[in-house]
Amino acid sequence: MLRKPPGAVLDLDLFRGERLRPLRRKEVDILAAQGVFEDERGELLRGFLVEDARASPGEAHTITKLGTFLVLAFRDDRAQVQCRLPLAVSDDSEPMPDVAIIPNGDYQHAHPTTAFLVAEVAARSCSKDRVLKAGIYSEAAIPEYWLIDVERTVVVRHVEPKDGAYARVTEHGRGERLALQAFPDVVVPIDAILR
Amino acid sequence: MEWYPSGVVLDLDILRGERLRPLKRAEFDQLVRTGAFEDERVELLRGWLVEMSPQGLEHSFAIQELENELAFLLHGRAKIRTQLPLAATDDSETEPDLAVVAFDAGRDAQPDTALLVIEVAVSSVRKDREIKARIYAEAGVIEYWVVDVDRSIVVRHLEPKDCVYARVTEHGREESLALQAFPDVVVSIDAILLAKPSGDPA
Repeated sequence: MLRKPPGAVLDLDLFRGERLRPLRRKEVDILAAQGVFEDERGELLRGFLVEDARASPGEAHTITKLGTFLVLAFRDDRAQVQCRLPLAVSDDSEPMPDVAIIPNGDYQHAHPTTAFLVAEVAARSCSKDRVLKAGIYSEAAIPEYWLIDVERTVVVRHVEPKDGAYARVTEHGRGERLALQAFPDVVVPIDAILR
Repeated sequence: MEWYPSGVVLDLDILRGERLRPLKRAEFDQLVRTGAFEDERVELLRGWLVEMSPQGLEHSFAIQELENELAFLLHGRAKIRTQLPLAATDDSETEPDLAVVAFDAGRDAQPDTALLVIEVAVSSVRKDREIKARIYAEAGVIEYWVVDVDRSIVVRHLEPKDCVYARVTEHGREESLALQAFPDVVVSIDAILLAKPSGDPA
């Protein structure tokens, strides 16, 4: 997949000690409206445009399985499901969680700002999902965040957002079933979403 | 600054290893046109928005003296721009403390190069010598001075080539420098630096 222009790794040593001014979501929206990011995939995280890696087949499989499972579970229209679409959670972050359950609403003119559940699917434990996004989602008071590790075939469940962190983080493996915090009747068997 | 309180230094280590998307100068300019950075002092350096250092007395004194001296000596031959944008490269737009540009520059667009750029460094020596020197060399700025106030010297960069300056020399208070582009214009370093308090060996 071609990305234009190619991203760069910020030379942290060169810029160490400098005060970098984070971009604001409002500013990114202005540029996006002018078509600046048309051929690019990235998320605004803490004021930086972070490139989104291409999903591996294992990740894509889990995203699709979980997305489909939830779409069917919410066909009664209690909530909506979105996959890899923006969530305008704060003034300096607009992540695109792999899967999100969002409140019903009209999002034709503005992205949803919160979710009942967000899930990120990763092929390895990466600090972007573990630290950066957990911080962003908890600050946004999103009640439940799943980090699904397809290599280790575990779901790391984060609940109880408080003071910018999740107070309860638990790991769940094959054979387990997870009931959603916001919709306890919706129970996801982990075997159904992991290879 | 309604959203980000001034004084926040981001923990950039959380972004270590991530591929980040730097801004292009054209995008930065689009944001400027919408009034994005109106009450802020930021420069675009290599695609990142970098806050500019606050200006102390030594900093403003050097700029004041340089501006007056050069404006007098170059009258009618070149323009002096003080802390105004320089569209240096596709990923950088700096606001040099002082730039000497061609007489007709800056009319249709921000100038993209200069005959001389001067940065006065009090706390920003590393930024000026490591980050900006490369940017100015890439922009073909033929002469670049870093006035290092703490050391009472001028670090002069000449011969931009392949994004670096081939000749970098240091000059003390007692020296005078003739501009590369205008050899008859000679600036005394002593005149632009505040006197050190007595007892200070420097």
